[in-house]
This record gives sequence, structure tokens and C-alpha cells, in this order.
Amino acid sequence: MPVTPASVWTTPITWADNTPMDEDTLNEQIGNNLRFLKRGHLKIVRMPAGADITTTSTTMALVDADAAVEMIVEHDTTLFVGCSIPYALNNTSATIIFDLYEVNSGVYLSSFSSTPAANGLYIGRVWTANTGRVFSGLIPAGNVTPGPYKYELHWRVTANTGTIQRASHPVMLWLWGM
Amino acid sequence: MAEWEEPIIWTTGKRLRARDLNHDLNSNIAWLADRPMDLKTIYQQAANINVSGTDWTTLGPQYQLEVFVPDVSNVLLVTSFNIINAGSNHRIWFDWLRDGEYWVGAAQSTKPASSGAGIGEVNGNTSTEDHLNTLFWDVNVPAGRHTYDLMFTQAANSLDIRVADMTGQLLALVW
Repeated sequence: MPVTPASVWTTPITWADNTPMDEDTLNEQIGNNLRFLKRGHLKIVRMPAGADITTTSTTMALVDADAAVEMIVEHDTTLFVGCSIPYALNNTSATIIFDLYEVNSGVYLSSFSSTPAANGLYIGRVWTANTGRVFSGLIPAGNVTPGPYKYELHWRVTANTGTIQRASHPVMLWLWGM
Repeated sequence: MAEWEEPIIWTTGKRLRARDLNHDLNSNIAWLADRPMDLKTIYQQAANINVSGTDWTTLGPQYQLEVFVPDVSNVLLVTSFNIINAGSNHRIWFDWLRDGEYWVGAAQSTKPASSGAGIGEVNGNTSTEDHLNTLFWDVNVPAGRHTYDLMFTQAANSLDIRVADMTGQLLALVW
């Protein structure tokens, strides 16, 4: 009976002289693992369309419940968190600060602790008020073991109002194990 | 470059032939080790590339990438350019156009608005440089050969992409 192609990872076996080469073993060890490697650990989230998101918070806070990406890692890997965040500020003297927060371990990627680094992962400003820029990044999150990982986008401003331009541009987050 | 083929589904009674093992263990593993990608490096051109006009425009074949997608996959699109603006409060927008018909950032087949749309915005002051370093995924791309054009539009003035003395790079990677 043919198996349903799956993109799941199974730990490779160590073949011995008498290891049965039955259909389930071959499909699991070769076909399914090849399919998994082709797609790998990759989860891409594009935030649903909606109105712009704004903040005046000067302490780090979650952007939005949808501004998160989660994935179950199936084998040891090096994890990267990527993002494409279109943002603006309404004042050229203010700065906007972004960070990524791993929910299960309770740590910020900027500091690998529960307290974010002062300037987060990214600090930006604009040349002209209310014009936009993009925070595009691929940030190593370290060597990880199997399990669930969920990263949320957090932010703050030093003053004034910061905006994520969701109404006009895509907001994308992704997790990538390589 | 090796071709990706859907792995064999083994069934009881199917003979374990050398060509089947080569199919899965040679071709596909070789594909994994050498994924389809297109990388363009643009450096030391005679002059910076000037963009003018206020509607979406491509910059020609040097700013076009091509990849072959074996089956439904994701394509990572990367830019790394320095740009320099000709006017104050200068605003540009950019997007990737797949096969001349699908706007990746806008996620639509119709041309987006001539300002304020696309993946995002870059802005600057007169003669001040800024950097266009972007990563973006085209998700669930159908099988086949695809081209990606980097498209620009702007509010006013003109824009130089500074490749006369700095390196610009474009990358498309199938994953």
C-alpha cells in the first residue's frame, strides 16, 4: 500500500546486514526524509491585511497577536528568525526599536534573557516624518534542540508614534532551520 | 545541475533496482546539495543606474532573476543595494514582479498603486545614501521556470542605484 508522501523527519537508522528493506522503512527513510530536507524547517507567516498598527509605548510590548511565527523543530538545527517589517515614525528625532521574543523560553533574541537589550535587535529612524523604511533581517537564534518555538515581534519607541505600515505593505515573519 | 524528482513510493513487490536508488539517492540528494538559485552581482558599472518617472518600472535584465521550481516551493528574494536620492523627502517603493504578472509584495496580479505600495518604502534626503537590503518570500510558487523583476516607483525626483563604486546584489533561492 503506497504511503502518503509526508514532510516529516525520521531519525535515520543505522543499516545492518539483516535490516529488513520493507516498503515502510524505505519510504520513511528515503522518500519522506528527502521531502523533509527539501522543505526543511521553514515556516513563513504573512500577517493578515488590516489597518496600520501604531505604538507610543516606550517599553517593549507585543506588536499584535498575529505578529508571531511558530514551528515545531524536529531535529537539532540552527534556527534563524527572519522578518520584513515596513515601519514609519511621525518625528525624525524619535527612534523605533524592534525585538523578537521567544515565548516558550521567555527570552528576547537581543539579549537571550527575559530583559531585552536597550536597543533591541534593530533601531531605526526616518529622514522625514511619516515616511517609511523597512526592517529586513535574518537573525540567528542559535543551535536548538527538537521542540516548539514561537517568536513574537515586540517593539517600542523612544518618543512620539511608531507605525507598522500594514495597510499598504506586507508584514512577514519566518522561522528557518538550516 | 541535478533535477529534483518526486521520491519513489516503495510498495511490496517493487524491485530494488539500481536506477531507483540513483533516482532518490543521487539525483535528489545532489539537488538538495545544490539548490536552484540565481545570484547577480552588479559592480563597477560605468555609471550609477538612474531611475526616474513616477510609475512602476524595471531596470532591465541585470535586475532580473530566473529560477526553476520543481514543484510548489517557496522562493527567497534578497536585495542589497545602496541608493542615493536626488531630492529631499524622496520616497521610493519597490516590489518583485514574478513572470511579468504577479506582484509578490502586493500579492496581486494587477499593478499596485504607483505610490505607497509594494514591499516597502525607502526614503532619504538630498544626496544622502540609504540602503535597500531586503529579504522577502514568494510563497507557494507553482512548478516551472520563473523570472523575477525588481520593480521601482517613486514620488518625485529621481533615484540613483549606486553601482558605480559599490556592489549591488540580487538573489533568488528556491526552498
